[in-house]
Amino acid sequence: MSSSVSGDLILADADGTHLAQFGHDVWWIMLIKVVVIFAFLMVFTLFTIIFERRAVSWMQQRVGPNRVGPQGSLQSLADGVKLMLKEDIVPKAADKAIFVIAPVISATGAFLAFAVIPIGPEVSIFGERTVLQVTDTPVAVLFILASSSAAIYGIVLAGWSSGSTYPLLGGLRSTAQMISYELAMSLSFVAVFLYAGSMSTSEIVAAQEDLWYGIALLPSFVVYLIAMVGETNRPPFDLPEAEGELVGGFHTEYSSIKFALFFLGEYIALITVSALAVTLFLGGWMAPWPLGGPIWPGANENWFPVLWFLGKLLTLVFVFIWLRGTLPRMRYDQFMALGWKILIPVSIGWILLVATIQALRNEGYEVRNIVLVAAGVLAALLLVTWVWEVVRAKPPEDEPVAEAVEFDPFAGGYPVPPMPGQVPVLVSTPVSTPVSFSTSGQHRVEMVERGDTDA
Amino acid sequence: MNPANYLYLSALLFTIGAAGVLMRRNAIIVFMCVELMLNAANLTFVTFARQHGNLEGQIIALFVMVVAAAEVVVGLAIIVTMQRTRRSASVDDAHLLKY
Amino acid sequence: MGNTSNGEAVLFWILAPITVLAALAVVGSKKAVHSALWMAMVMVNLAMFFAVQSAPFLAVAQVVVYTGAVMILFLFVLMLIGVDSSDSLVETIRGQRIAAMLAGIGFGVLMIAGIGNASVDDFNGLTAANSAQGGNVEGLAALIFTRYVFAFEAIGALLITAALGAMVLAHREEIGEKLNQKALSIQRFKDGGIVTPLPAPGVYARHNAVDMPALLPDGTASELSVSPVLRARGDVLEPDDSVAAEASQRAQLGKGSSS
Repeated sequence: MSSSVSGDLILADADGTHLAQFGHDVWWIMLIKVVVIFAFLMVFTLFTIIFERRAVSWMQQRVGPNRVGPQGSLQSLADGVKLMLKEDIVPKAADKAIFVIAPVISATGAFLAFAVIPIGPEVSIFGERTVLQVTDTPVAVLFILASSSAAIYGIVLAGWSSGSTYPLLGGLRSTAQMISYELAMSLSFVAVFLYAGSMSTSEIVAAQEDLWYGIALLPSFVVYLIAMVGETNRPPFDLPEAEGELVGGFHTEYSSIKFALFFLGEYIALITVSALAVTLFLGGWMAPWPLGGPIWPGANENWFPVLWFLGKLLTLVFVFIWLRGTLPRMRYDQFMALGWKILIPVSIGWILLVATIQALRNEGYEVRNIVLVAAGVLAALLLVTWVWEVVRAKPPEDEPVAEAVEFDPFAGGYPVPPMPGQVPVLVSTPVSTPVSFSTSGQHRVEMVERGDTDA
Repeated sequence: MNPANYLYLSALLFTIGAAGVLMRRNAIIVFMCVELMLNAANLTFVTFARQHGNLEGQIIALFVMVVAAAEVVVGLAIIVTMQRTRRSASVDDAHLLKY
Repeated sequence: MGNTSNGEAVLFWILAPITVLAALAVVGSKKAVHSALWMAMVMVNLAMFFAVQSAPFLAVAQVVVYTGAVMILFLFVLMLIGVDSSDSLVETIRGQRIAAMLAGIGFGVLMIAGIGNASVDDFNGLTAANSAQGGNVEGLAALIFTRYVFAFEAIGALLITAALGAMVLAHREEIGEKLNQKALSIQRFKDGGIVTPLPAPGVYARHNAVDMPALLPDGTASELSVSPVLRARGDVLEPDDSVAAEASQRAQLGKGSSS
């Protein structure tokens, strides 16, 4: 029984071979797929939380959670249960209806995007042939962008409805950051659309059979990697959530289940953007080259691709965690400048280049020669300018040597660092006066006199 | 499904938007009602595109969307400037050019 | 040839009343932020109508552009600039509300009557148009870049103008030079005064709120550890209680002297 909304509707203009596979599923197959994806996302979130804590603690040379369950694997479950049972506080100045709805919007938008991520090729489930993807449309990637736009509402509403200053500022900053990096993300997709000729995820995965777009369109991939970290408010772009700056940002006033929903939404957004990177740039569910082709042709059939997809997803999630454990936090104006002044112009320039190459290819020119010639000219230009810079550079002037002014660090009784121009001369005199505080009041700190240390 | 149903719906939305522009005095809400009217027009265009069977209605709906976005940008900037200088965003208070 | 289906009718008859109610809520909400949210709901509903009418690209563009950017811009302005949400109750023009409502109803009746009188053919459907170029997106692109390319360029120029206009309107003239972090730090040291972070309020066994000052090493309370507002209001507590308790504990335990 085909679904009833066919004919005139979205999937009607599916004349790409891959899109025609969709829209014909039996209702219970659809139900199974949806439930499995939902369950997978929840379990993967729990796994990601504990994986992150263990990985970060490994990078910081400590142990991390290892009490609950084998190797601490049930820690996130315990945390979830704890959050569910906590007291639910709603501030008095909060706008109650919006306060409750905001985390729901955030979590829902995050889940929605996974409906169009391809996880595998056509398999047979209980006798029915179906593709391992909930659905697909000719504008699937735009749909993912739309659902992440919807999720942004949750954050700005949470910040405003809490009725206090830190959440408002944190929420507005978070939202401004997310919409800025969303632009950079969208621009990095344009090159992929130009190459693949379609916006549907299954078509894009199929078009990467020969060469992954992460290699063919490397600048887009790099821009997307940076943009996806900024989009999900993850370190090093997480100033709106930093405790020292804005306490908790938009989720300061949230507790219990609503806070758990925000947490869930953030991790699922992380998984979603990673899955999107895998789909658009890393070949989706296709096995890496030696495996899919000469060595083992069956690697891209049946259920094996789920393994490759999960492997790539896990790698990207680890990259996220790696960034968190390694990089210091960037200042807000610094990363907004990065998003607007660097990522977007670079993306636009790259899109112009890709569009030119694609247009030339459509006209039938031999693109490879043109690209090689252009790259050669560019390399020659770079070489010439570098040589010119080196020749033109002035030799470094000799700096005047600072005279050594004798300077006793402990002169005033307190240790004092040297001023510019002073060079501390190590004198072997003992500390002249003991450090002491005034003895008025009920507390008195007694200090022992320091003499020559001889041990 | 009759195209007329969609046309009635967009006529209703347009009317509600127009009434909102006349009734409310907060500048931002007036602006939002103008957006409502533009959206209703978009719905009409898309309906007629489907009814005639060519895509030109969708093209103009896209252009209306872009124009509305540009208009919102400038309009909100004006409202922000109004609010900054005269501390009030009520359209009744912006009457200095009144004869 | 009507190639619509039951699913579309169900969608329409569920969403259309919701859309109308949301539009009424836009006009009738007391708080401006609630209006903005109802407006976002109207736009998402319209996106679903577009999707069901064979305009998938327009549907996602509606969500991304309208709901995801324009309405967020509205929300930003409402939240940052703090536009007062309540209309004043004093009417400048007497009876304006009633007149506006009547005019609105009259206009609505007029339009609906006009549509009812017009005879509209059944849907031709966009299957042919959408598959002519290989898809809805391709069909739109073929039209935009061939027949309507001039209008396309014109709205590109319009967007640039709008962005420039917004920058001009929101621009604040800087009177002095803007100091960067290094210059601010140097200035702070030149001015003298306190350059370190201020001490935190005192934390004691029985009291750790912000109105209890911290103790200096000599036992006196530090003025810098409580907010000057609280100091001015006289809301600062004396730490004598905790200090006395601690001193008496020490005396009992016989450790050290307290004179």
